[in-house]
Amino acid sequence: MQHHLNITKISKFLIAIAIVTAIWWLVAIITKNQLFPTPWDAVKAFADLLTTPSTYTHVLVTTYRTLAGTLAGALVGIILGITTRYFKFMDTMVRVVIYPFFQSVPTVCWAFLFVIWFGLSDWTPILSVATAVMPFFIINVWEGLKDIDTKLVEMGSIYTRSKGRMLQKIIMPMLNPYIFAAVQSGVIVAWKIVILGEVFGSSTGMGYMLSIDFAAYHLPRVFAWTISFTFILLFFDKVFFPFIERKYIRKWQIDR
Amino acid sequence: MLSIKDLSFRYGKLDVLNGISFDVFKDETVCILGPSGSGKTTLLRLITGLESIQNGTIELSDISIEEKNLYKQHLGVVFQEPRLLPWRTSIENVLLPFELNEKKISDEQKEKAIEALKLVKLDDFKDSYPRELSGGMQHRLALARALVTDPDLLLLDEPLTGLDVNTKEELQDEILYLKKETNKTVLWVTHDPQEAIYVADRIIILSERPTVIKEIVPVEYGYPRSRLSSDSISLEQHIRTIFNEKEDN
Repeated sequence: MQHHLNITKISKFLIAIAIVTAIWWLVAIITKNQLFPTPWDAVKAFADLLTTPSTYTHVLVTTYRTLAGTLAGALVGIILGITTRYFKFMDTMVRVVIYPFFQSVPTVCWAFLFVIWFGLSDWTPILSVATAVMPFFIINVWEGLKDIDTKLVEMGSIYTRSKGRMLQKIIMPMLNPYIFAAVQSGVIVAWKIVILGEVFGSSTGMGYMLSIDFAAYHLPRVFAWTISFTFILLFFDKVFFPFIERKYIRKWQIDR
Repeated sequence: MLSIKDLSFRYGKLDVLNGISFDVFKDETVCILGPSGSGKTTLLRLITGLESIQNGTIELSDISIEEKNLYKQHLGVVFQEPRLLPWRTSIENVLLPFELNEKKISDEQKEKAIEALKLVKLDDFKDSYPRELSGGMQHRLALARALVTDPDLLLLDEPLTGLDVNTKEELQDEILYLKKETNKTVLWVTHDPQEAIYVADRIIILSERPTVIKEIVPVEYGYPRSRLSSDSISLEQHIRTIFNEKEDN
């Protein structure tokens, strides 16, 4: 039964790919390859990328910036979110000032500011990502704090008065699924922002390479980079995160 | 062991406890029995330090509840629900009281945790998660967690709520066995007169709000007890009469 379902799923997927490829090919023929390279040209350019060693350096640089930016945004967002539980002043600050501010300023504004402040360095894409994903973490930690099982907190307070230990042993584990949800959406958004940040203010990374090929009007390579982004995002979304969730996150979820 | 004097408590304008005083002596099992809304839970929250005292005093092993850190070291608590951390295995749940107080767990503390699991017959399940245990086993695990720090007083807040009759009776026997094995003093809160008669040396009967102590009933026959002996049945009738007297008033 399961086997049959898998076959149905795979055949549906293959049919969808075939339809998209057919439409793409048709558009390429109609535009006489001026605006659209044929899928075959894109695949050849993609294969060319795969066989070029420097491609991997650029992918690694972009991955590093994405993860570093997400980590920085996560750290600040989690700390800000948690302080709202312990300090009334921080609750007001975060709710009224910090969260709405970071939520509403467009990332491209931050990217320009960081280019001015830090020039063409790693800091520009990393900080652009951090400012963009931070609100995800603040809001998810808030939600998590609203949902924590107060009976478990009460049980812990029988044994200790240390707020630090309570946070470490009881409250943070209950927040893990919420933080993981923020990581999932944060990393996906972060990839897109890093690429943008690299287009504007970097001399390395996938975004920079994309801008080089765009400037040279090398359409098949622009498409090849786009395919690479898609594969990487699909890998995170469909393979990596589900694996982490199955393996490590489910145990933190509380059934009530 | 536990000494409560003139304890009163109000939630806003609502009088909940009104001048409660009683002692629990070493090795005793004392049951607090009262109908729903009789302030049992509030009394318990005050004894555990979850609510701050407004009037009166509480001392455990001559330590005032005001000295919170020291006081709490002498207390083990089992709640109505097992309140286990679902992301921790059985042994990790039992080690929690140590981890909440110290940076590193010693080998001696690990051994104590294993001993506590053996006492409740869960040593074969030390690496199981709470969701992999039955309801009765989860309650036993909560009991092991309460016992691991070797507290002077074991406080049980209707610990067998939600269990079927057979499991409930099994666990009553098991708690009595554990009490005997570990020489613990037990304060057991319940709304079930039969349970109180089966486990207690004395039964403190509370009135409805504003709560006062209605009567303290000694249970003067020894262990093992029968749930259906004429003694227990007549004592149950006596206790129910006290409840009804209250309603008539």
